[in-house]
Amino acid sequence: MVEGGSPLRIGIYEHKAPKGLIRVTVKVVDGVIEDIRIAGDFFIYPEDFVYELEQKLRGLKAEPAAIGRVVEDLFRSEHVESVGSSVDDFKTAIVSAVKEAGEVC
Amino acid sequence: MLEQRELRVLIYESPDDPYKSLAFEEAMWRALRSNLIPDTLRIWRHRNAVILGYFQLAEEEVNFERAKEKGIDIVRRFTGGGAVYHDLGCLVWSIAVKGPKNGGTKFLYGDLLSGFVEALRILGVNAYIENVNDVVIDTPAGRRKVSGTAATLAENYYLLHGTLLVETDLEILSSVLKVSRAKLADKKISEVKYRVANLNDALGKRFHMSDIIDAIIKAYSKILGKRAVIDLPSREELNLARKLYNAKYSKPEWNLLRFPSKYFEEDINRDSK
Repeated sequence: MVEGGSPLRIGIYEHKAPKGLIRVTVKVVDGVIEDIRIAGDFFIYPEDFVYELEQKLRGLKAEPAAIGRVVEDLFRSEHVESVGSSVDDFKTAIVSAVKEAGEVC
Repeated sequence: MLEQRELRVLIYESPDDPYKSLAFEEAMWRALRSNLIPDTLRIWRHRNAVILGYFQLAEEEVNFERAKEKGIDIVRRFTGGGAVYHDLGCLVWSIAVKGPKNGGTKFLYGDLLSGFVEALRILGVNAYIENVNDVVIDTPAGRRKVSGTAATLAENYYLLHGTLLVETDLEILSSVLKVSRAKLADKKISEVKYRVANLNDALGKRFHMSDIIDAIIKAYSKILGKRAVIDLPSREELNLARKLYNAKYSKPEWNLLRFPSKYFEEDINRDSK
């Protein structure tokens, strides 16, 4: 972070999965994910997994390993079935957006 | 109520009010899951509308200035996938069925989608499923996408709905919908897979809407092994559609702001008028 700069950082990343685009917008404040939006034209079942995942990521440390664990755990516990994208596509999209926010080296 | 060996056919639309017809679509899906209706095939259209996928950001998909200029309504659907443009030259079809347990997305994009491909074949068109859920046809200029589909499932209930470009204004379609840079960068997709065409232009002959509708009914009747019976919306569906319209589909929080479905649930249930 630039000294004297704002602790608020925004990252946006578009990841193209084999089928569908995953577009993540993340707001990071003091190294913590304050808000996140996972949008796009992908197919995932049950659909509301997306909103649960966003909810679970809010307040989490903006750190790739922690993010990866949350995504994987929720994929498993919700028996998520995606078409044309995988758990790795979602992880890549989210971690890349956090990196864009500049909070991760 | 019709018997389970019959396929209920609803030719039910509100072309000037896409908010209302998307509310009805969700009402039909809920009615199916509550066992209030049998397997249903719905045929419908819109005069001028962009329909967004559940997870999409409106500002990323729609050219708002163009939409305003052309009087295009922007409505969200409850299924995932990408934005589509509908005018009266685009036929919309939905198939909602009680299916096998654990059929999963294979049943949706395999079995159910093959019914629509069969409909095009009945019309003498060489059609194929490509890229999971797109339907493409052979034309003298090569393969063209004429249909996009989206679907949802819950337990052993399945809903697949899609478009068929028959004689849509493709100039308006391409100017009101934005294409993301990441998609454009993927040359394979922008150059071939997403080259869309109207059925009528692509094959140099005219198909009448009524013949297309007949073919879709015949095809689904055949693949489901059920006799098609034309029906009207049920009282329960219309009642539910009104609640969904009032609490959800008439709201910018749903159509434009991408709020989760559960945000509206309390208001839908509270509405007992």
